[in-house]
Order: sequence, then C-alpha cells, then structure tokens
Amino acid sequence: MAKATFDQMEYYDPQQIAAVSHRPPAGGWMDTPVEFRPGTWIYPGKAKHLEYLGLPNPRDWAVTDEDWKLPDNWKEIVLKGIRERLDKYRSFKVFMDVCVRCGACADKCHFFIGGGDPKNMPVLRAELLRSVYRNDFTTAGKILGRLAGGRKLTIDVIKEWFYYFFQCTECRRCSVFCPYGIDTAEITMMARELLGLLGIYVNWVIEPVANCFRTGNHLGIQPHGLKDTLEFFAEDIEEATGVKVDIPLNKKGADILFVTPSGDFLADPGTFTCMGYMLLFHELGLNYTWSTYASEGGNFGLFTSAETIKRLNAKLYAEAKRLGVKWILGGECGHMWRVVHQYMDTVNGPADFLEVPRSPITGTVFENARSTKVVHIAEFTADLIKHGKLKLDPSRNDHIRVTFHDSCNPARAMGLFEEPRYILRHVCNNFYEMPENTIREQTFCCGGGAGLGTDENMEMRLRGGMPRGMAVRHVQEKYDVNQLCAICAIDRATLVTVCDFWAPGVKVTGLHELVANAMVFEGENERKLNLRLEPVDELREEAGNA
Amino acid sequence: MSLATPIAECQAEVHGRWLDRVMASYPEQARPFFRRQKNRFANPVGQTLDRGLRLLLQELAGESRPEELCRHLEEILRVRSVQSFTPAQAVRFLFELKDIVREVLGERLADRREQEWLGRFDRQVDQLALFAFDIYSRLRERMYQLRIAEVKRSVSTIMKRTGYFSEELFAKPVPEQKTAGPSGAPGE
Ligand code: SF4
Ligand code: SF4
Repeated sequence: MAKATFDQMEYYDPQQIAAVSHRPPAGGWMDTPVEFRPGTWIYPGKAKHLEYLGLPNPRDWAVTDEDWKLPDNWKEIVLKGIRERLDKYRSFKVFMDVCVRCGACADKCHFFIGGGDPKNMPVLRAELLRSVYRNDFTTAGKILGRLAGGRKLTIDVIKEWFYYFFQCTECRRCSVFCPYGIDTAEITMMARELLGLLGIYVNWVIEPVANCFRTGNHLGIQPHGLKDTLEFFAEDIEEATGVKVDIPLNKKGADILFVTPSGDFLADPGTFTCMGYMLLFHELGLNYTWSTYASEGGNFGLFTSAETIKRLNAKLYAEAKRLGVKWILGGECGHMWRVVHQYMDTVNGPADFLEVPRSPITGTVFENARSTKVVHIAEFTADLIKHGKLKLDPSRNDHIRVTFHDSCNPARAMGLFEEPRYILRHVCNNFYEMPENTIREQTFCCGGGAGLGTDENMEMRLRGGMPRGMAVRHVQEKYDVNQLCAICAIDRATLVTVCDFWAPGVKVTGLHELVANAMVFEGENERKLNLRLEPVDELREEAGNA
Repeated sequence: MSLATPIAECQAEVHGRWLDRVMASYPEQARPFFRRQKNRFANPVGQTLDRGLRLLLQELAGESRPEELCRHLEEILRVRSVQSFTPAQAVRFLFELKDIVREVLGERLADRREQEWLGRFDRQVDQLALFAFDIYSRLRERMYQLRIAEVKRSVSTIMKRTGYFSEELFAKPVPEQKTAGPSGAPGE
C-alpha cells in the first residue's frame, strides 16, 4: 500500500502515525482545481458596496466567470499582503510555522464531517494558504518548492481560496483540539483579507458592511425605520401582555446603551427576543437607551478585515460617548462577542470615558467587562435572577421542551456556558442537553456563520449544519424536545432551516423570548397569548397530546 | 417470508460490502474517518449510512414493509441529498445491491428455486429505487422551499407591517407520500 499523505485520514491512524515522518508532503490536492458546484458558493460583492467603502477593484463579476477581473499585478498585491501580515501579526506567522500536522483537528470541522471534502479538514484548509507561504517566504520552500510543501500562487489558487475560505464559518471548533492552539479561523480571516485586496468579497458580507457604515446597522434600517419597528413591537407586546412599554431612543444621560444585532429588528424569531428585552427593561425600570446610530451589535467587519472591524466597531464607543452613558449592554448576538472580547479593546479601546459596568438593580460589578465596558445580556439577566429580582413563572413555558445550542462565539470566544443555562432552568421546567461532544466548547456550528448565512449556498449550509441537526434530532426523539434556544441572531435565522431539514418539528427561540414569556409583569393581562401572539392554551394542548 | 431467506443468512457480509460501495462515492481521504469513527454525533454521515443500510437489509430479509423501507431510505438520502451528488450518484448504491448479493451468494444461487428468489429480489430492489427517486426529489424540493421560507422570514417585520405576512407563506414539512412506483409494496 502506498504511504498515506497527510491529506488522507490513514495518515492519522493511531497505528500508523508513528511510522509517518512529519516531513511536509507534496500532495495531489495541490493540483486539483476547484469545481464550483451550485449550492456551495456565495455571490460576490457588488461594485457599489465596494465603492461605498472605498475598497479596491470594485466591479461586477460572477464566480462562474472564467475571468474574475483581477488587477494585472494581482500576484504582487497578494504576496505583499502576506508579507505585511506576517510582520504585523505574530499569531499569523506562528500559525504558518508551527503546525506539525498531527491531525487532531482534521475530523473536527462540521463541513468535513458533513461532506468529506478533504480540503474542509482544518489542517488542509490552512495548508491552502500555508503552501504559498512556504513557497515564497521560507528558505526551504524557495529552494525546494514542492518538495518542501510549497506551491506557486496561481489564479486557480485564488479561486480555491475563495471557495474554501468561504466554507469556513470561523467557528473555531477545530482550534479546541489543536495541541498548539492554532486557530484556523484566524487563518481564514487572513486569507479573506488577502482576497479582499483583490476586490474579492461575498455580497452577503459586504452589503451589510456598507449598510452598517452608512446607517449604523447591517440591514440598513434608517432612524425612522428603527423607531417604527420598535413601536410596532410595542403594539404586539401590549396585545400579548397588556403592558405598555416605553421606547427610549438616543436618550442622552441614560445609564446604559443597549445594542443588539439588527437581525432582531427584522427577522422572526429574533423579533420576539427583541420584544423580550423591551419587556425586561421596562419591568426593571432601567434607565437605558437604544441608539439609531449604533443600532448594530454584530460586526461583519470580522468577516472582512481588521480595518473593517475597527471602522464598524468605532460607532459603539462614539455613540456611548455622545450619549454620555455609563456602560454598554449587549444583546443576544454571536460574533459580536468575539469582537468585543478579543478585538474591541485593541482596535478602539480603552474606553476610559465609560465606567466599569455595575448593575443598577443588583449592584453587581461586572469585573470581567472592566476593560471593554460591555456586558452580555445573559450575564445581566442571570445576575438578576440570582438576586431574586425577577418574578418568574416557568410553568408558563411548560408546553416547551427546550434544548440549548451553544453559539460558537459566546461559547468558544468568551466561555459563556453557564449563564444562559442558569436562566433557562429558571424560566423553563423542561430543559434537555444535547450530547456532550456537541455542546459547550465542542459545540457544532449552525453552518451559516462568518458570512455564510445566505441562501444561494443552502446545500453547503445544510451539509455543515448536519452534525448540529443530528444532535437536535436525537434530543427530539429521546426527550420530545420541541424548541431549540440560541443566543445568536444568525443562529435564530439559520438554525430554523437546519432544524426544519434535520429535525423537523423543532422550533427556534431566543433566550429572552422565553424569559419574557415566563415573567410576571406589574399590571399584566391574563397572558393568554405569548409574544408570538399564539394562544398559549392551544400550544399546551398540542404539547400535551404530542 | 421464506423468500427472504438467502440474504438473511449472509446479511453481515452483504452489509459490509454494500457499505464499502457507498463509501466509494466519497473522497478517498474521508473514507477511513467515515468508517472508523463510531460515535454517531462525531460522525453522522458514516454512522447514518452504516445503520441505514443495515436496517434496510434487515427489512428486506424480513417483512419488506414499504413504510419501513422508505423510512430507512429517507435517513440515508437526507444525508446524501446535501452532498453535491447528482441524483443518479445519490441513489446508485441501491442498484449495486444486486451485484453484491450475486457476489456474496455466488454458487448458492444455482438451483431454480434460488433463481426465482433472485428474480423477485431484483424487482424489490427496483421498487426500492423508485421509492428512492421520490424521497430524493422530495428532500431536494424541501431544501428549496426552506431556502424561500428563510428569505421571507428575514423580512418578516416588513411583511407583517405591510399586511403580506401569514403563516401559510412558510414551508411546512411536506406530507409523506404513501406509495411510490407502480406496483405497490416491494416484494409482493
Ligand atoms: S491540530 Fe494543530 S498542529 Fe495538529 S494538524 Fe491541526 S492545526 Fe496542525
Ligand atoms: S473554524 Fe470551524 S469552519 Fe473553520 S475550519 Fe475550523 S471547524 Fe471548520
């Protein structure tokens, strides 16, 4: 039998691994050009958005075009881009150098698990870029080329990068298993930056970025639109609960600026979670405000470039300063928390003009947010419950048998495991965990993060969502679970589809939708309807009969 | 059902070879992982295929109830419908069962009675393939329905405000189709 190469799973066979030297192999994969299969790739960024953001090489083009209309000196641009990044980011240089190809990450990516494409093994995904690095930036590679695992940068390589680095949701599951702490998501981020230098973006990322830059949120909701939306929610809230909530907007001198992903304004079921926040703050009598300018918790800059992260994120602190708030409270968003915890302080901090967050209700000081001044709503609410500040009747959610999906970023980027579970146990009587190797730090991605959550790549998303979907299906069969709770706006959009395909019958909800439905409000009505305006009695009956 | 006896005797071997054939439709580098990782949450593809094929064989060796056959087929095809296969590639493995059974049973198929059984078995497999066409297309349709539903959901606030929103706009699970193909239950 021919000796296995490192892009083959045999290579990682425990019995064989000792026999394999760690010399960089020259693999057949290097010469296999990408086949752009429909349903797996994403439409490119439109020229108008690139122009708006002042990004290079704006033009309209299609992935299926032979000619991607790259600048003549594209190669020089990319190699220079790699050089700059190697100098700027020590992590990038280390990640390029230290992988020993132990294979621990190879079978941990949901896209590989769901489809078996070897280039979706994190180690090989990284190698797509690393091979070029070796060829042009290492002595061995410069002399030995292929023999040292290097390969030349060609247009086909660029196309391959586009294909596979937009098949990585930057979920960082693989990095949990890497003994060297190599973060493939950061390699993906670098590759995307390099593609960006040539004007290669996906529209589902770059349009929201342009929108956010212009109006303050990804969806391009203008100030009056946001006001309308929240008023519309207030009407539904009143119908469901009898409670009239107020809507503080751009309120100077508020204690807290509240930001949440704009998906919660427009897309069900996130909208119900948004109503949940409004009710909670109203009941607490919190001196808070929404902002029509910093109206986006998320930051698609994370999927674009470090520079774009900074540009979009700056709005948060600028608005906090303008309004004179003490600190910032953040809603149920996923990647927002990767930005807040790992980049915000570096790119726009320190926010010395803000105070260390302290809950005005319980007096708890959020030491963990001492530097960024941004608190996660789950931390805030869990603290309220812990101090007995909320009147809760979890039996109001008795028709719900819920499981919890750890969203990649709150889980792996900030370690937020217990707070949401603590809240869930207080607002629902029926909570069931998915299998251990699919939750907490090992959680499986929804398949639609990091700019992949659009619809033209639906097949790829469902493939990547398979491991998550199968685990949901398991708790559905075993415990009759009928809802999945997620604290991320992308999840609330994409997991609805994942569940409908892999575990039909399981609905998706946000955490604060459940909180509000279980809360007992001052002056409430008989609570015959939930926030979705569904008759609760009927839901109970359905669940009872199920 | 006495008809089923010949494969009942060598199910394990048929299963092993069948799984090999199905695995051959995946990239070489992924096969060892799909075959060896036994945890079904770490390896949903491999374990679903392994289990699905086994249950299909059991059912074929036993009562061959159409609902059960369809149920097991659906589990397998749900996985294969999102893996960039053409429809033919996705269901090809069913036809391969005919060859495998001949390989495994070999000389035991010599006499007339067994030959008759084999003829009926082939028709069962054809029937299974017809079920598979239906299930596969239903799953693909579902994928596109979900795609549309998601787009609508992403602007649900606007749709509600403009009065265009109703629950009917969204994809409900497509009801199970009772029978597939012309001749009712396979093996009858
Ligand atoms: S686990 Fe780390 S060192 Fe091992 S192959 Fe993956 S990236 Fe390389
Ligand atoms: S970050 Fe996630 S999507 Fe990207 S390679 Fe790692 S496991 Fe796969």
